[in-house]
Amino acid sequence: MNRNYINTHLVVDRYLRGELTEEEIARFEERLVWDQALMDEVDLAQKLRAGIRSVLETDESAEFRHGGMVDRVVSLFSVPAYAAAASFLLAVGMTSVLLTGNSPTGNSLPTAGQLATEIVPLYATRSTDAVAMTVSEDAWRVLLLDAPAGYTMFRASVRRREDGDEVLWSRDDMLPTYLESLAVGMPGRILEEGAYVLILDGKAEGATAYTRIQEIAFVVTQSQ
Amino acid sequence: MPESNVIALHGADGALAEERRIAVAIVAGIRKGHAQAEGDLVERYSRGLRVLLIRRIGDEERARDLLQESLFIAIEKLRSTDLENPERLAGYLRGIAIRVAMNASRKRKREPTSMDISEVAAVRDSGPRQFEQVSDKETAAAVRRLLASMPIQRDRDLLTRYYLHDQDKEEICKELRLSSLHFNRVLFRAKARFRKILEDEDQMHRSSDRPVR
Repeated sequence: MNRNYINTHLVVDRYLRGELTEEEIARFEERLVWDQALMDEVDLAQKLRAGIRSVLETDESAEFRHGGMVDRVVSLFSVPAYAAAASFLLAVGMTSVLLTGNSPTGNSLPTAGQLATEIVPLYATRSTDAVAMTVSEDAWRVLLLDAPAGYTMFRASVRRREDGDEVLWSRDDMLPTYLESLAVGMPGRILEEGAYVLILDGKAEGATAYTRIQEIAFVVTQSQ
Repeated sequence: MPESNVIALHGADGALAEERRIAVAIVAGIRKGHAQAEGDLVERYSRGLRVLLIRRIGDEERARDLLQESLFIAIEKLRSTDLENPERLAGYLRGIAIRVAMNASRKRKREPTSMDISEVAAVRDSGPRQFEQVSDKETAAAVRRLLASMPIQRDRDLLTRYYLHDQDKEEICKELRLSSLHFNRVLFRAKARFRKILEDEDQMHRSSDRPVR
């Protein structure tokens, strides 16, 4: 098996995932036995795989630095207690990691390393009580909520509860990521102390217009 | 397997030609009773054989024992018999290792093997492994740095789906609207970046381990 075939057919990863045919395994291993560079690639792929699993599955720290948001998102949604008990999970954090696709202009994002990441999972209910969250003052927040089934595209809008229909922030054409979750990033200045509502609209398969899915009330207080 | 793949599998490559040349020399040396050739065999093939044994057995310690047994059997055979295709030594060794692993699976309690080959007995590990000084914690930190350095959420999503959720490539490409080529490119770049991060980490360890003059 030559290196070109190995690279173009992702043989190393497929070997580790158990996806090769018997013939491919034989050819691959015959080379693996002597090819040091290939062994290095296998080592690297194993480390990457194990590292990603370790980070995304077991990181339980409540606060972590830039880059950790991705980890926490998956961790939260992987915990059955959260998934079963809550009608949605709402988390707030500051990071540049998840925000690239959420900025309307795409040019006002914080740079890597500027911001600490803080994420606060809040469990909302189907009751009329607003979700309460405390956020420290910082530049960006990310709201995470689960994406209801049956929709292919989502739009999230945030407005103050007392300000009628004035939309403070809106994010369109969102696709669910990370275990059917949605991440809505916005500048932190939008979420000052006060009562808000996040309006979630969705497009069903084949639909051209959005329909209202739910309105999620939440209250923001500044941390000390 | 499609014909095009078969051609690719047997395609010409310089490293393979070199391997065949070395294999022929090792086989001939062992047949002539040269201890150096036995040492060369152990040094060249131990690491790879161990990787495939671990893959089959799933136990690093046990794989090390089976590696010794495999090398012992191979050297004994090569001392006393002519190999039909000496340039295919790697395949021959792989065959022995697989049989040893299969036998070991059948009888979990094996008789200890008597080793009288110094080169084999000296095999304590499979040779230097890449980034062996990088701890699991540092690997996790490297993964975080990798994810943080990837500006496009879809690319991070790709890694998560592929490595954490074990989703198929085709499925990921469809859901993320990626071409197969784009998928490969993202994975290739992520690995290259990850390697660089680990190399830096490894280098820091080596520098701090260096004795003060």
